Amino acid sequence: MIAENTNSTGLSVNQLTCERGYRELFNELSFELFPGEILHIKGENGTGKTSLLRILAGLALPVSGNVSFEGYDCGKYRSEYNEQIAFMGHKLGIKLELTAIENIQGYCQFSKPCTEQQILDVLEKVGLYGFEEMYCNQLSAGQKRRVAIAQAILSKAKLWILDEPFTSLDVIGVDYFLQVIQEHVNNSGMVLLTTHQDVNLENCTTRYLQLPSGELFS
Amino acid sequence: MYNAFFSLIKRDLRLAFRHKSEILNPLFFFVIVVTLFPLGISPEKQTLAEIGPGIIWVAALLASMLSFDSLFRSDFDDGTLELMLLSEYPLSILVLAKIIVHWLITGFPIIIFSPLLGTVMFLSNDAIETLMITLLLGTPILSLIGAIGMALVVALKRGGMLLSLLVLPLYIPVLIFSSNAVGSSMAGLSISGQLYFLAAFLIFCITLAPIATSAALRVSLE
Amino acid sequence: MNAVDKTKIKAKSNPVMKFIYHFASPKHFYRISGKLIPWLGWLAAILIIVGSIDGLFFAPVDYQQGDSYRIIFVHVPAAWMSMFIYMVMATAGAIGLIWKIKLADVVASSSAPIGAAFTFLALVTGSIWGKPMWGAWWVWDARLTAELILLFLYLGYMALEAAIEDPRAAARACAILAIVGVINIPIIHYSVEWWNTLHQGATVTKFDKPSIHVSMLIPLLLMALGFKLYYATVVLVRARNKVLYAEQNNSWVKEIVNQNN
Repeated sequence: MIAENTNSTGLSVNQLTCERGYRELFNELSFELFPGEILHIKGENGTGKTSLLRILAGLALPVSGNVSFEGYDCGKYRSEYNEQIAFMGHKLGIKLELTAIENIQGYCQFSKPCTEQQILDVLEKVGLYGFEEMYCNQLSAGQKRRVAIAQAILSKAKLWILDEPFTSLDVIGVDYFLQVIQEHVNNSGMVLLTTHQDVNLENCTTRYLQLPSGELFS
Repeated sequence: MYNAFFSLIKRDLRLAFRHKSEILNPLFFFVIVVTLFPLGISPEKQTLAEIGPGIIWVAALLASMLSFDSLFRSDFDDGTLELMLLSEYPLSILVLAKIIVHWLITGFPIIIFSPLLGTVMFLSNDAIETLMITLLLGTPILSLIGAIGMALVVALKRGGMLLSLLVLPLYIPVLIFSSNAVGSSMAGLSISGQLYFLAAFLIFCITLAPIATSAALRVSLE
Repeated sequence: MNAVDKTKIKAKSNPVMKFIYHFASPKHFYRISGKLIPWLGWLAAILIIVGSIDGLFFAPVDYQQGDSYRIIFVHVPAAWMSMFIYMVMATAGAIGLIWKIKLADVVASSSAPIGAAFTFLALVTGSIWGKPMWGAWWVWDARLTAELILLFLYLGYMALEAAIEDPRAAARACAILAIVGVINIPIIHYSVEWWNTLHQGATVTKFDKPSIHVSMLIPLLLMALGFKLYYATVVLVRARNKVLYAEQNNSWVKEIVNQNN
């Protein structure tokens, strides 16, 4: 028998190799992420940041290597893993023809069921008070982003995978989102993100991963 | 899981009703295509009654073909598909819910309107009844098979033409048995064989198509 | 212990898997197929030449169709190959999907144009044969129609492959399409045949020979085997090219390129 991975509390990435077309983006990338940590993935455009996040979310397949969460292989235990993660990509998964509430209700049906009161509370928290019943095509890009933040909060996932989460948010929105991230991490959550902004949060361990080299530093 | 299944159906239906053209356009298309044939061939009762079953079925095939953009395209564009893939529920169940909605908004209206077109094409009452039964059995098959093709091309910019190349050959058995059943009932022959085939094919597709569709979606979203 | 090591261990524990992984590694495939190709190619050429001579000159004249029947020595093997290659594509595609063996994807995509060509050949020879028999270049005969639909399936496969840019995604999408197609082919065949018997009960079913004479069977089988080996040769040549292209960043490919410069 082969021993399962030693890291049984967080995310463990083993020798991940990713190609786009016939071009190698990164080679044999390995790192670990423990509860209460933020991993900020850095790198220039085209170094595979988004590809890495999509692989970690299980949306894309690596050429080789594997990802495990709490000691289990994510590819094999897909639905259990999906329960543990919230993913925010370039596309937010928000239907323009539905109101903010309807959107979040739909999202909750894919993951954790939640009551209407919970949704209203979270929408108020993300600064969308008064916009709950408005169709999302009337919301600004930043406000749609806030709806997506509300979804991530309601997902109750342990691991948040955020691809450029601060896009189109104003200063207040960014500050607020950082606060949400901090709260999540302090509740022994984990966050993986890419952004061109500086992420300076007190009371949490922030580490950095440089692509394509795969170098880790804090 | 049932909760997720039914609430997805409800949500997609709500979306469809906010976009009424999605329901009406395939139906208009269906009616117009059928209308073209008497104009192009001849308005004679004999001729139309003979080619009617085939024409109505070919038109239904094409209408279903053209409506597939509404199945996954908008979900792909706004990222809802990614969320579906990341759901903890089996993707094939969610996919089946979406296919059912697609059938309800495109296949079902066609069935409702088919007696009208059958009358216009001078089909007998028996034949119209058979036409409705074959559409009831056949249009879900079209939605199920088309979903596989749509899932394969959803990420491509100009997938529409390609979709018809992939899917139309697979529609042939449905076309053959359905239009033949309608023709046979015009001639007063037994049609149970054709209907059994369609029913068996439908069950076969319900079992396998959602699995193939979800596999194709995972590939397309990579 | 990571997944790559696990696969290696699994591969080493089982001699069959060991052989498969060894042969399926691009480098070894390139080397071994290079040695196989001349053998297969010559054998195919000999079989096809002998089969054609035997079929065209030595096989007896058919009492109903005269000499025109001799086109079956091309038509029938081509029709067999058209089905066979689609099966190969679906099987290879499934292997590529399940065990992630890149070589299987390469074999599947290399096969498609060859299969389409055989299908086209079967259609053309069938229609040429139809001219003296039915007096028309095309008749909606069940097998010809089924062959035409098979050609559409091939064309759809190749169109899908051409439309998807990423080669790995294209291979996986095409594998799904081929599997769906292969499940549907028997259903399509059955329905076309059923449709045909209803509408054209009177036409001569040209393929249903009650018993084929041994002197006709021998050249037919020679040709069939020759076509199979020809396919094997061409698919290996194409697969070698694709492997070389896909592995362009690996050192062993660079060595080969340098040697040839």
